[in-house]
Amino acid sequence: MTFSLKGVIEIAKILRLMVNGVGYQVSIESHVTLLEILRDQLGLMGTKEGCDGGECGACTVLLYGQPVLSCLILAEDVEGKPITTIEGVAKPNQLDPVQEALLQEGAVQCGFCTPGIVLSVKALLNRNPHPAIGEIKEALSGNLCRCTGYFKIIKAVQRAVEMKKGL
Amino acid sequence: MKLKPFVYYHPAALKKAFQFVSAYEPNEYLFVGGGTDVLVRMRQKLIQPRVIIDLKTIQGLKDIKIQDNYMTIGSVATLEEVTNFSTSRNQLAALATACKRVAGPQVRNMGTIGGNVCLETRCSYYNQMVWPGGFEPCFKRGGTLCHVMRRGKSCYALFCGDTPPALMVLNAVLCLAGPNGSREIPVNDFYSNDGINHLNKEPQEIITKIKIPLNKKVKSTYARSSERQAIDFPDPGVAMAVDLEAGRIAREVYVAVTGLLSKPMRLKSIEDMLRGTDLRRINSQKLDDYLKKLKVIPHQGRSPWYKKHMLKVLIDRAIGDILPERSD
Repeated sequence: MTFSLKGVIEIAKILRLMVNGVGYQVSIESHVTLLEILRDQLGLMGTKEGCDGGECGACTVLLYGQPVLSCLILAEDVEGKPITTIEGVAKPNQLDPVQEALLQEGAVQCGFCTPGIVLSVKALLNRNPHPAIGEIKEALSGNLCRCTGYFKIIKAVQRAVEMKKGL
Repeated sequence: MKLKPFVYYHPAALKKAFQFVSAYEPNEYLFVGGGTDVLVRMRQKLIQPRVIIDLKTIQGLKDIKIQDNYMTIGSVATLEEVTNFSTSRNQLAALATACKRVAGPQVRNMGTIGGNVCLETRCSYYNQMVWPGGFEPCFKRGGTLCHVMRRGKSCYALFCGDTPPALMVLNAVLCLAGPNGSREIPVNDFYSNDGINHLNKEPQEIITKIKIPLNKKVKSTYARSSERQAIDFPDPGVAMAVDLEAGRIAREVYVAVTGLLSKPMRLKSIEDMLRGTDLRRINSQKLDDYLKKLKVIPHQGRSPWYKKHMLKVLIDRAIGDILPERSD
């Protein structure tokens, strides 16, 4: 990267990103958010742009396993750091219990919030495998859903907890 | 909306950061912690800095520790990290709750406590009305009027950070650093009641850490009202800390509020009223009299009556948190 002290010029840079266990080398010409890189450059369209302002959670990804908003992260801040998107959740030919539970409960309507919700729930269950209903609601409080009214989503999380117990 | 080009500098040390900004005018650069306030305003094109300096890469600004009977919190520690550290200490309950109530889990994993202390003031005519809609630009947007206070001669944007009132009632001190050296300032003196210049610091100064004196005798709490329980800003939020004698007499009491004015502030008249009294028996009429005299800005359709009424409800709730065995 080059810059002049007084002038501002576009930067041309190679970023090395680690997404879903895969290393990517991405060339960027100006500062972009992680969300833009995931969708526009890496073709990982599962992460959604809902509000572009940090209020809806549709752009949620996991950074070091913790939920964050990719629309507010400048891509170079996460160079080399482990990022998980919705595409990294299911195993080959097998949905994750959280995904399975959401489908079985009918908790997906338009599906736009769902990737963010799956990741927030995954992060919750990784740190607390048996959350109380209040803890589930709190973990989902950064993910807005305009379709379902959340009821079935919460039931699905409880179902996923049971499913994981049986595994 | 695509971001305008800017230089993003990642210094490893404070000295390098100050050296770098010395080449620019104060309005050309911004320091960034988690980015959950700055990036949003950049996306909305409310601010377009030419330079952004990343505070996350600077050594030593994230540590949280207990030292010499103080809790010191690095300004770049995330709200989640501060919550986890303070959650088991009675004295720090206000801080733990305030940090835990900011926004949602994702923002708390990114946003820093320093950023929340320096949160930019908000107004529906500034943050929400970002598309041209026949609104003449107000003071905060470079214009010559205020849409909220029609006869106002200055900006009345609201301060809505959750953590400052908690830090105020805990008598926290902010450590600032700048190109000309470091200084300390009590949180109580850090704010001015101006919607544009609400922070008493130079643009080149940053908060490096926050020091809270530890006192096992103090119990604190934070009570907050907002449209939704998450994501929305406090409307208002009240922090209270008391040193109780015999479990109910307030030997010392601190009360601070956010979401009422362009600055968070201590409510000294209410503290004077509560000090030395039995918190189980508050003089409701006296409280009403004090609240009547409070100046409050009507934002987002919330009338001063509503905000003062909620303030009373929250003070009551805060006392209930501190005295759970209180009979009503």
